[in-house]
Amino acid sequence: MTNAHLPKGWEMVIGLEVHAQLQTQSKLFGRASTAFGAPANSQVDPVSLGLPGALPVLNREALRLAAIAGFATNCQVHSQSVFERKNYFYADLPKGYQISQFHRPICTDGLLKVRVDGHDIEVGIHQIHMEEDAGKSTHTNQGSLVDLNRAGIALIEIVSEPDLRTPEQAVAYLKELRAILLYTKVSNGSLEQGSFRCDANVSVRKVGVTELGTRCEIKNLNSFRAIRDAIVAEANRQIRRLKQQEPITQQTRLWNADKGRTEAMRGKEQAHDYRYVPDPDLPVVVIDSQRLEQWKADLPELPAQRRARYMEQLSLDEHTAWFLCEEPDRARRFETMLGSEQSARRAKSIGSFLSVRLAGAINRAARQWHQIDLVLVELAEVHDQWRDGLLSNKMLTDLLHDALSVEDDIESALANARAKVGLIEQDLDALRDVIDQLIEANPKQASAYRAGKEQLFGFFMGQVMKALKGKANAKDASAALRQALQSSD
Amino acid sequence: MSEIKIDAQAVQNAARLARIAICEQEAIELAKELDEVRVWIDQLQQVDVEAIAPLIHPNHQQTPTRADIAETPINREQALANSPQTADGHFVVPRVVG
Amino acid sequence: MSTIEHQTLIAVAEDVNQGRSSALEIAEQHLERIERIDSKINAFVDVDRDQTLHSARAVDNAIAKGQRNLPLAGVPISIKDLIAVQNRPLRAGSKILGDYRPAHDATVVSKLKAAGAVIIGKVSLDEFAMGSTNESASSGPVRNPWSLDSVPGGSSGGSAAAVSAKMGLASLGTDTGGSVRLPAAFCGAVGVKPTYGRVSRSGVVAYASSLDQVGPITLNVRDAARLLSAIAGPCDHDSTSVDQPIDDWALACEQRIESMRFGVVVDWLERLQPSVADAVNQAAQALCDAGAQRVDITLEHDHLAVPAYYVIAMSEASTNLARYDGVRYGRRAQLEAGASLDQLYARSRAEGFGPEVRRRIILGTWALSSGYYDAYYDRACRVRRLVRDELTAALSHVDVLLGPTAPRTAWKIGDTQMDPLTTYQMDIFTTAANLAGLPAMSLPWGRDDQGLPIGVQLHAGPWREANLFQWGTALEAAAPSLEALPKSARDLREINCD
Repeated sequence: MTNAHLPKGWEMVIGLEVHAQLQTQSKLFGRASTAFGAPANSQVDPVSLGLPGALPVLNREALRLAAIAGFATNCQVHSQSVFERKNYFYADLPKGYQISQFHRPICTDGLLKVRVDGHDIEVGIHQIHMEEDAGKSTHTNQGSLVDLNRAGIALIEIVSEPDLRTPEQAVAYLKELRAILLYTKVSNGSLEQGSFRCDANVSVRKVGVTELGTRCEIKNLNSFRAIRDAIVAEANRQIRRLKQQEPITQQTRLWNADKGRTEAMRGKEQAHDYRYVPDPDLPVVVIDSQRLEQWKADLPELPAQRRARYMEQLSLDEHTAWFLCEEPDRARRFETMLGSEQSARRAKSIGSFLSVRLAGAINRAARQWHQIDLVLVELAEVHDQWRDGLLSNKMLTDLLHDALSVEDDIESALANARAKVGLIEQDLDALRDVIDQLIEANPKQASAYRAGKEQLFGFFMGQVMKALKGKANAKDASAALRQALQSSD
Repeated sequence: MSEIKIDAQAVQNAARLARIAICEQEAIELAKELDEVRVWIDQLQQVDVEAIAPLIHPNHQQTPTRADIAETPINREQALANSPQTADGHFVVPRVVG
Repeated sequence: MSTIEHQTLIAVAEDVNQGRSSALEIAEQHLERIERIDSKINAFVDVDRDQTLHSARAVDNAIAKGQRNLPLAGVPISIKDLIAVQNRPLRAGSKILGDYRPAHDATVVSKLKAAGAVIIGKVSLDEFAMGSTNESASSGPVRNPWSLDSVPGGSSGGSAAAVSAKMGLASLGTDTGGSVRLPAAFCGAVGVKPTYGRVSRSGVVAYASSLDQVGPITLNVRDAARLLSAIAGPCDHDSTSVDQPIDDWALACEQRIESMRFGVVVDWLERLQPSVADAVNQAAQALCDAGAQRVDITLEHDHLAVPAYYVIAMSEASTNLARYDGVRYGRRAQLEAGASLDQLYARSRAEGFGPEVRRRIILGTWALSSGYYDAYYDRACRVRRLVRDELTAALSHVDVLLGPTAPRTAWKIGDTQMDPLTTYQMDIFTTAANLAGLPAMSLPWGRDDQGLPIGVQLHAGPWREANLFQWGTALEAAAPSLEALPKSARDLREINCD
């Protein structure tokens, strides 16, 4: 496979580890809330503080979500799994160990189909395991400040096989995975809140070589862009070293976005010895097969299925289908606006209305998508009016701009904007007069049209619009023009 | 098992993993004591356990689960009350280099 | 109100329930005794007179309002300082916890309170329950009430000494490898280690999570049955507690053993102090005299229980005790400016933990570390299965196993012969029950020629505590009286409070 990011003859091998926060009310083993953004150390409990005598009790919703993640990525979901302690000391790790899964995780051997540049690739999922999140340290001159609100929140770690060969594949895999977690409501997938975090394992080798090179793990990747850039930078760093006969040391590196390079983590040179040991506080996790079957049967439509449905049933093009299906909310908005009038033509038109017109307007007004949720049906009406020529492109742009730039509630803002912009009201008699005059003034063209030169219709249409200064209902104008051209002689 | 021995180096390594500061002299003395215990423990090597699965939980079939309900078992003030050093609602430790 | 000498837990609870005694008077009586004699025994590490009297009054009020069925009404009970009592210091016999005060009661303590018990104080223990002598507590050694220069046994030494000296009518201890039974034996008390999972560990400082159980220490078997009934049962804060039917243990105490079978492990009679061997033989004979049938049993893997136990206990301890780091609670070392986080940990833990705790953490860390895990921790867990299977198989043929609790009676405080390795081997008869998760009981059977109490031990199958109580009362009825006391302890034990 050729790779535009690397010198000729080299390829990179990428495996990804994704930590996704499960959407639960309470933590994995403790009972404190998981709500984001609370004051430091206000959402803690004996378990997440590591108090003497505090014991973990498993949150059954976290277990269900982890299993669902497994089913949605075609994993084997095991009826038995084991929690282990991963022992190390750190300020934001209150118990001195993290409860995680290692030897017997809940899900193994999955597979994700990912579409990149018009081709499908298959990415193996090595395993998905449950674990606790760590707390958060803020480093100041007075010392590091530790907040344990996040400590103990339920995570799954999704470990891919090293099946990815380009940064584009890596990003496509991550987007697909994130969409799946959103569709299944396993995670809110927010990169900003840190509920979807990625570490990348990168190694390089000469094309044709089958053994894996020594890999480095890159952390601190908090956007898709960072992931793409960091992988390219790291692969090139490794190739430079190899070309100079310098060995690659297996290590953990941090992405420095400002300098555009990965850097070895300081102070972490000592080899870890995590001393994994089955957690004696937690007997084996057992899910009976009936419940597993039920969860599997209850899986919602996944992004790939929905894309296929949009392309087959609604004849959407691939690009639009991808855009609409990337987030379930987007697809939901699309389907709400589509309503019951599901012709392929209208679907395509609404798809582009959403992905071009609305997306542009929301971007320009710096608003959030969820803010239009209350007016989806009204927006569908606006779309239909635009499609029917009752709104020109310019009128639509103005309308959306007005509706979104006001801080009012969106319902009245949209109503006001619609009233202000109005609709193209056609005086059909006046329209016919204009058309008749034009035909009279251009007899040669009219005869040619009637003789079969149909492309001249556009010429007349342009003249009509020009005469009406753009304030014409294109649908009515075109119907009237066609009629007039055919009947005149 | 005869090649395994707890020497001062092994003690220092375990003490470092366990975050317990010990000086060289202590490591030497501890190594001697602990290696005696190790020799005694090595009785366990006499028996063939290849076909025996490890036993962690003597009386348990499976872990129980709880409903996903958020509570406030400990408030912020209680959480911080026992700490040797706090600031601004946080626990404070020496600055960690990132 | 009866004098302290003649009180039993059950009788006091009945008297208080019926309004014949007040919880307040009982509490005052015991507080006064603690004040009078504990300076010699050093069992208590925390006594809060006001709080104790306050809860005694609350019990009296409940009774005045018509409450009649509190199983522990007005019973003064001490709590091993490994178990959380709300807003009271929890030190685990260590310096490292500093002045830590838990915000909640341990489940067992809430259950005691709900049953009408009055918490009389926190009692001493070996640091983090690691020891058999109660010499390692940061509050100094506890003395055996039967002989003040002898150890009370450990790690629940404060509990057994307090009960034996009648400071409180019962105590809660914890048993990881014999820590309830050994001190009960050394101090002439009854100690029960329940089936693993029978009693909640929530709020109990963990030593070795898969082995620890809270158990009662009392002066007689029926009292132990009453107390265990009050604290047993599943807990939704402990994933290892199990919802198993709780039999009527009071009833079990009254059931006969005629024509039932008990086992004697013949290897357990070897290498005992002669008076201990005599005691076990007499006890076996007494059971036969009562019509029970003796079955001699040999166990192939039993001798591996103690080393397997120590590997598992130390390994679990090394990770359980990682949380004591001087960050969120507890004692932090004084550090020079610029010290690192790792220095904070290493210095706080070196200063905060005593030598035996440091030794066990380091050895446990080693046994879990890369290269040794398979040969030590993993292997010990496999041996654990051998020990468990063999013991439960034996117990499927007989109701109980009878044997000694310890190979000898209490030794002298500061005995230099008792180095760590020798002391570990004192657990030879107690650790198997913890490895196997089985219930076991130690109860007194006379005294040796030094006047020190001897303990005999019963093991039963999982969830069959009823067997312990049934056979325990039978043994108790036949056992030689402990009444006559050596001079050294007489002053202490015979003090009345009239």
